[in-house]
Amino acid sequence: MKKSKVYLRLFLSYVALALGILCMTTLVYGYTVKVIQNQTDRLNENLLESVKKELDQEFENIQKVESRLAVDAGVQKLARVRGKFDAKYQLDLYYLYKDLYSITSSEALIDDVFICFNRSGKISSSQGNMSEQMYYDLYYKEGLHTFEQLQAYMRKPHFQESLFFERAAGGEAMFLTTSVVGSGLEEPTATVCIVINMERLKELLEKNCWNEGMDTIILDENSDIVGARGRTAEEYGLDYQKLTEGNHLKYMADSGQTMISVVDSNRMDWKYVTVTPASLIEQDVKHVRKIYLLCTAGSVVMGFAIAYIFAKRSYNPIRRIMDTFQQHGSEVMGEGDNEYQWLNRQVEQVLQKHGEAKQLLHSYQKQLKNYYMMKLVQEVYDGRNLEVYQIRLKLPYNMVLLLYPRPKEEGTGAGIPADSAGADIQKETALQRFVIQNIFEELCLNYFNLELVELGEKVAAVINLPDGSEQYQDLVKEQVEKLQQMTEETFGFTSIVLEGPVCEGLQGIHESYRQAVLLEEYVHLLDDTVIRYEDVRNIQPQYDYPADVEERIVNAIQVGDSRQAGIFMNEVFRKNLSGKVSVDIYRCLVYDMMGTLLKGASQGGCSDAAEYLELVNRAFMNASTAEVEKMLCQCMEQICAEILRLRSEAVQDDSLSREIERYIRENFRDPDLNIAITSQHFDKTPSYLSSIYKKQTGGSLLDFINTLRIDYAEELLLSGSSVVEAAEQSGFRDSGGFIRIFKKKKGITPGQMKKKV
Amino acid sequence: MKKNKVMSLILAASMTAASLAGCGGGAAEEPAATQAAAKPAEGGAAPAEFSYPMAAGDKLTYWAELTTTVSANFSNLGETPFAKGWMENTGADIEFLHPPIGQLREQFSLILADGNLPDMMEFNWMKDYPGGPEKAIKDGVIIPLNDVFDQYCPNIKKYLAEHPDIDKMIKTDEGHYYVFPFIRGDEDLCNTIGLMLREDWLKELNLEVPETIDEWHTVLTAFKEKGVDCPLTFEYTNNQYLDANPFVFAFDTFRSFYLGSDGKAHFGATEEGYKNYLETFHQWYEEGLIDPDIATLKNDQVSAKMTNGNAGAAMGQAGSRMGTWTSAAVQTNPDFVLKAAPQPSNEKGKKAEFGYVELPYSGRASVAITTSCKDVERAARLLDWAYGEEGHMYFNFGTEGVSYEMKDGEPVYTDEILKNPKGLPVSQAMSSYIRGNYNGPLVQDVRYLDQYYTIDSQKETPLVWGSGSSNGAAHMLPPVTPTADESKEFSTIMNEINTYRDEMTLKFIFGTEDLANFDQYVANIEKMGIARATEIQNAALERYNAR
Repeated sequence: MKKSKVYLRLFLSYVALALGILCMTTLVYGYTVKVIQNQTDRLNENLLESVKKELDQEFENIQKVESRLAVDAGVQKLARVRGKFDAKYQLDLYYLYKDLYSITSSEALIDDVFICFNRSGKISSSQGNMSEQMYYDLYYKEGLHTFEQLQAYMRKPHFQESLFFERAAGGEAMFLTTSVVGSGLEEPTATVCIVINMERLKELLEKNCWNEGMDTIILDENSDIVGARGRTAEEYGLDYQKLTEGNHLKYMADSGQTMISVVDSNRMDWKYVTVTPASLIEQDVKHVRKIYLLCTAGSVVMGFAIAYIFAKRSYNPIRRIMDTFQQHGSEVMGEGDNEYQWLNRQVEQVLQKHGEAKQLLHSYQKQLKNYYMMKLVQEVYDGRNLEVYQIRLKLPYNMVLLLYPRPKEEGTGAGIPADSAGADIQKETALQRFVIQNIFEELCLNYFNLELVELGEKVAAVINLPDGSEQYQDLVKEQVEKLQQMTEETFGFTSIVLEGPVCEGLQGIHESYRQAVLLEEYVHLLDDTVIRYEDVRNIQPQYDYPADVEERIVNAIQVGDSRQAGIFMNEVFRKNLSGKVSVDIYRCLVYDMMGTLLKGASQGGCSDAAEYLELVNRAFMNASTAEVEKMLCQCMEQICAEILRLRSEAVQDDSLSREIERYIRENFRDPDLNIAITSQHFDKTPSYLSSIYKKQTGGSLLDFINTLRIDYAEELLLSGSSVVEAAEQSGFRDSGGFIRIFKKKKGITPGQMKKKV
Repeated sequence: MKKNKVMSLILAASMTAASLAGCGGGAAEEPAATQAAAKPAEGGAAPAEFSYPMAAGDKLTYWAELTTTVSANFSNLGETPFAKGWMENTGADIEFLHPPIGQLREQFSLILADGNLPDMMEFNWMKDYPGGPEKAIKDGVIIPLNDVFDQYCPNIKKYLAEHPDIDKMIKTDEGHYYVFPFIRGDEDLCNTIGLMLREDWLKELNLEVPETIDEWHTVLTAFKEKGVDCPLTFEYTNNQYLDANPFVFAFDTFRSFYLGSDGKAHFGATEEGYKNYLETFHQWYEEGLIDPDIATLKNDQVSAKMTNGNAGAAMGQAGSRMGTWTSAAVQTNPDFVLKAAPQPSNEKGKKAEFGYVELPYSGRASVAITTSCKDVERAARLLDWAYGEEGHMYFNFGTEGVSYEMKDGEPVYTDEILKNPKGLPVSQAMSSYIRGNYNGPLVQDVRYLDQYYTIDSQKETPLVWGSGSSNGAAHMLPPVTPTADESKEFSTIMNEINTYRDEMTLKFIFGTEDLANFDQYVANIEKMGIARATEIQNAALERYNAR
């Protein structure tokens, strides 16, 4: 990608982001403006409500006063008077004046109250009584309205109407007029007029304005205006008819956008209106806008600056890559080197290393797999997850096959390198194992999931099976046959296969292996190249070697009669090894026979028998039955020869031991008799005496003494003696020793023996 | 709005800072002030050590009605150069509070009901506080000033020592001072209301200024015949004029109580003389010599009628009536001349026995210190200043070089007052700079009046209306103060009687009630308890005399 393109992309994403921010800001700004407007509206509404409440209250009072005056009996009476008021009315006029005066001074909003008596042309006011003309001259002359206009207005019937009148002193006055209607319905006899103090009214309106820029106004039917700012309706462009209550119209007037709130008066035919130039709110809004613009501009610039700096810092690809290499300790770039060349070299190196590492890893993995396969096969499964080591045995059943090439005939035993020639042999067998492994793997992979592992001389194949049915075993059998055929024909050696049983689960692998290992014995036993657990497990479990036959063999050996012993042995072998025999049984038989030989040798006094038999013991595992038989027979003959030789040596010295026995028989009841005493008697050392005796009789002297004593004690016990008595009389010094030795000799305690009796 | 809020916060903060700084300064000066205050209290021997202006202190509040000549140009007395100078000279800071015009008494009642009183209140404590000044002290509204005068008010003490008659007037019967009084400092200042008529018409008709009732009848009849609508017109029902009616005095009587030759109080409206007055006035009314609207006249109409020739005679002040009318009328009628007529007597050439004279102390516009005042010394020193030499000059003439100049040892108002460059009438120009032209806590200086009267006719008035034409001063009841209980009883009785008397008076004049019923009228008033009321007045008078 080109550098400029990167920048372009960066810029574009930045622009998108900035647009987002701008949109948000605009939204927030708009909302704020709206909130401010709403607040202003609400403020105005409240303001209007309070204005309305206050003024309506005031005007209600004023109207009440007006109504009261209009129906006042005194006023009615005076109104009926035509022409001049003569003296008799003066007092009434005086009271009326007092009344009007007190009304005026009690209501701040009222400037004056006057009653125009149309028939007499008089005006009674809080300023006193006077003619209409004088009243006009004093207070309204030089205004917009002429006296005639005032007079005409007063002559017309009114009911709570309002009219603006210009004062002589300047400023406007508002007349609230109500006619006093006489008996007829023609011209009203008098008109009650309340003059509103406009300054005060404006003050009230002004008091409610929350800002100097705004205006609170009263708009009457004629769109005449009473406002805190003294502007006309036209200036505001307001029309009484068009304004509806509560509407917050945005109106275009000369002062620009204007917010207008309207509330109808409950009392008068007018509307209360607030006029708020939008510019007023805009001052607030402008403030907000300024902040928003500032913030936005700030973030745009900042964002750009940051983005640019980051881009500049981050986008330097070659540098970055070189940095990465250099960090990992690569060589420093040479003086005249091109960065690309240098990088190319580094990459090649890395790739090479990577390949090596991969291989190494593979071999490690393989070793690891082998190790765990070995563990799996040779040990009880410990429940670990083997898939990590790529051992995949997912099906529920397994069977283990042990494969190995048949050892060469000249080898003394499989797996034991005899001499220098062994190395070659070893190499050859390793090759053969490899061949077996490959062939078998190839054969089986078509049908099964299997894992192979070398175990010393053998190859263990773990075949993973979905169940333990015959069908699979047959298939395995087929493969095994193919293997043997192929090794035989192509490679010229025989492969031996030990087939373990099908076992469940990974735990079963070891069991299967164990059984397979045991099968190796049968290779010799059955002289076959394929041993199946299923075939061998039914082989005879017992062998026939009765005790009397053994006794006869022992006796024959004891006396050194090798011919007789050989006959008996052959008889036993023939009887037991003629048919199929399991390795276990065969082994037991061999051991039994060896035991028999040892027994015979011992009784015959031949102490070297064990040495002879050691050879057999070592060899028979890997030797065929016939060989073992032969070895055993040779052994027996050696033992017999030795015994015969010993016998001839021992005959002449027999007299001494007979002497010793006689002496002991006479004295054994004496508790003091022991080997030391006996040797003193024969003037020999105790050890010599013991060895001579042993040599001549084959038994121990002490044993002889103890046997005599115990036998005698037994007799005593049987004849009713107590244990203590029996002990004392049979020459035991303490009963503890007696009981111990008795138990040893007889298998039961003297107490128990006595109980038996 | 937000911005404003912020601004106001900043302002408030800076003001707090400023006021803190101010407090520091104030604290530094305080010891001096307290020393000054403490010393006279200790020995009472060294009040001379005090000097104006005072150290800065709390703002004082001052409640007073704003007179029309001030309200024409200022909405608060504090805005006037007078008040600013007063504060500057005394060192006191005053906040002026004013009741709406025409609502003095209502507001007074409201403030009292509220209980949160201004420090100082300008009012007629003698006549208009229900129960009188002693009651005001007992009610805990105002404080007695005897100790205050002793401690802080050397000026007023000095004045009262020099004028024992005044001293007697401004005390209660119990001897309590209760106000800083408005005192007319000269007899001339007590004769400001009287009769006046068109001299040009008299000359035209070849008539003399009338001196008796008969001559008045002649003159008014002549005016009537001349074609004048209502020869005599005046604000008959104006409170100010009710007790000043010269035509009542002409019959040797009084509308209400007067001091008889026996030295006792008498109620005039039931006497034979009053009947004679009513008879005469009724007759004149019948003859059309008196304005038919006499009961309902106010200044506006009277002024209009007097200036446009619809009337020829009236009564009123030399300043606000005679002067105003003359200057208004001469613009259209250069011949227009108003002349003061003396108090009419019942016999040609004889000085009238009764006449209208203002008391030097009427109780009006006098300032009491309320119980709400925290710094009594400050208020007292502020008010006392006006009674000293410097303050007297300031209150009557203002600031030398601005509102007056000394010429031949006499203060003379500058053109700022007399020919105001902004075109203000003299009364309004004066009200900007001085207090002496209208009632207030000061001793009024007659030299003010000499200059205030600009027309010759005006300058004559003190003599023509005063001792020159009547013995009226001898019949004025001094400012007596009934006790609280008496006062209550008295006002209950007199409210009824006054209403009845005024209504009947009008009826007799208008003829709606026959004068034959005058005895019945007298009997009714007696029934209403006039005897008791007279008794109360006499008791108070005795106590007054015993002061």
